[in-house]
Amino acid sequence: MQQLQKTYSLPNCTLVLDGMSDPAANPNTPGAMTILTNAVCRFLGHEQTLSGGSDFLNGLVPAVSRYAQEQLSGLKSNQTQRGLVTLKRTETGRHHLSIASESDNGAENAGGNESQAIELTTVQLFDLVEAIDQFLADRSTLPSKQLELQPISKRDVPSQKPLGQKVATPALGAIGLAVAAAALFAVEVPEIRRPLDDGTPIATETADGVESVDPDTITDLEFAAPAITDAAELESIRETVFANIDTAWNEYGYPSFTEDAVYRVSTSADGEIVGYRGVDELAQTATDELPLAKLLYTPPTDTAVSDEPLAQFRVTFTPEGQLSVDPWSDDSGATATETEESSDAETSADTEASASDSDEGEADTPEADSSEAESSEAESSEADEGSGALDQASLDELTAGALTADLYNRLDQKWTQNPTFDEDLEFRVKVNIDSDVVSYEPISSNAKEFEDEVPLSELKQSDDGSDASDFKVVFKSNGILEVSPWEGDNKASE
Amino acid sequence: MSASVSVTPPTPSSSSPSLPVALEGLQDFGLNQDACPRRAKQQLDLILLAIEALDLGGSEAILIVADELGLQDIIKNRVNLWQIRSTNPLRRFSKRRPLKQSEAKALVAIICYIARRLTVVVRQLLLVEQQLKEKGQPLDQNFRLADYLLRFRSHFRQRMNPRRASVMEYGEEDKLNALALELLEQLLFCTGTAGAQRLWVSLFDGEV
Repeated sequence: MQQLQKTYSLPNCTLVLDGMSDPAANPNTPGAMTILTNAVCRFLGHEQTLSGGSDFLNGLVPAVSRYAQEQLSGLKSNQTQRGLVTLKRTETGRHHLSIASESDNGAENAGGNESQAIELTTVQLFDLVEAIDQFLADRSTLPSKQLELQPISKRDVPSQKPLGQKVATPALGAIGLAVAAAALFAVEVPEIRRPLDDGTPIATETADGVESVDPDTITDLEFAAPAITDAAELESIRETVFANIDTAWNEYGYPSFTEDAVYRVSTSADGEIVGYRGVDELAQTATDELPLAKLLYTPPTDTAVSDEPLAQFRVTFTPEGQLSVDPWSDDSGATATETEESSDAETSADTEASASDSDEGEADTPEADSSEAESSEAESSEADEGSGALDQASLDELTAGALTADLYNRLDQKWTQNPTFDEDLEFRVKVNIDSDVVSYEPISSNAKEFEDEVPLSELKQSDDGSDASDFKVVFKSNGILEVSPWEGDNKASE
Repeated sequence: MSASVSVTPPTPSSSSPSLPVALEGLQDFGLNQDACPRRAKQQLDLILLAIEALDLGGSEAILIVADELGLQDIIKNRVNLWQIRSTNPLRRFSKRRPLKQSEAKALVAIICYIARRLTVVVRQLLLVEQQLKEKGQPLDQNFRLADYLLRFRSHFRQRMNPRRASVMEYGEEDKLNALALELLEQLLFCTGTAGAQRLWVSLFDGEV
């Protein structure tokens, strides 16, 4: 047996442990303190100390650790109020630590080991936590004690209401919903535009590689370059353009603009940008923060570009650094020409499609995100009453949003044939909770006739129609796909 | 819809040799998929916001530290970092994508690494706050504290969606200040020896 003392010293708190080593009992850790005789915590600015034997330390370590975790998550565990050592926050933001007498029912109460209490500032509390963590990490002091961290379990969160005015207030009321939502988040947001865009002339390009070449001024010119319309080719160019812009943009700082900056960009077949124009007003001013000018390819001679086929893209930079590149569709192009640059013509077109570009879309569509937020706020008050039930309407909305997106993606991926039909095809499609198509029926008069052109039968994978919901799917003759939750009454009449 | 949640035993770090050292000691939690709870998405982004308010070079530092810690495979570039942070549902342009546990772990490692470098200023600001509160003086008496609060409020208002009810709650300056100070306390706990494990585990409080 050997007497040992260990000190863990932080600016505001010192933890001193006295004990003994017992090499005979612990041959693997000779020299390590294996028996504790006394523990003392001293705090800067407090004359009072906290001290006790191993019961004190055994109570202190988990209680302080759990309390520290509560400070991080804002959630309170029932467990904290049990045991020898308890901590709670005072109104002034300090932390009240109290220790019940070790020997309430014991005989050795003469030593004045009555219950102890102390008020700590957050920094003092942290130094206590840190002293304890250093002691736990020290393998030469009580090696049987180790840091044990576990999330507070659902059971131990009594009311799902966090401490104080935690930011998480609305979220925590609906943990179940959040978990459900997490599952749905996995769904990718669909793109609206598809690379099928038909043969309508795509605007072409002059050769003056001047900055901000305006594709629209070019359309009228006689030497219109051929447009690239092949879907597969467009897609491969799109990928190159995306990668080029994305990489170049990484060199730039955080965008200062607060709305999306949208450009119409013309590129050559190998993805070189030969012209661009801001679609909205913001895009005119945001150019300095974006790599378009830097990427602009200046052709060696005037003729070099004018004969070359060109592709047109709609390029969107969001303030959060999200980049999207989509084929410029003819109807948005046409509108843009008519309305000049007063507004982003595509935005209005987009709102029809139910699962829209998430970037701008707070208002238009069943956004899983916003519905989640709202419903969970509605939930938090109900949850207080202990009913874990989710608001069914919110959950439905959430699910519909995710299924819409999923169905869109699946159909979009498979629908590669250029449409031969002139009128839009409309279907009512039943989809089960796994996003499998269960059944579908043609709605528009020509839908049956052209059914084989669209990938619905291919996607029909399941007969499990339980829990299926209806969606309206429109394959437009110009290659645009629309998917939206079926709204029985008003759509059925169409 | 199943919302079952269970805890898997912590995987020994030696079994996954590809894991960056910085993420060792952060165990996986078996929720019903590889995703983090909503509160985690929110909290990690907000703590990063507090770091940016504390340190003018904070946004750059986040990317540099990601490199230093060998987390390039998880946080690939600036855009990728924004995408990950934009999983915070309070954001103006919140992304409807899950926050993977590996991504969250990377953020935890980065936060704790930077927090450790900011230890001195974090402690000072919290001590000043305590003193001002006890004297009953306004928080903007202290230049550095006022500066932090101002920058935090401005970052928050710029980036969070004012139409979300949970953001509206912070409409008043006092409420936003209180949030900024809470986050500062959380940063303090991140500076410790076990800061990363503590922050990581706390993200799953009430979820398992």
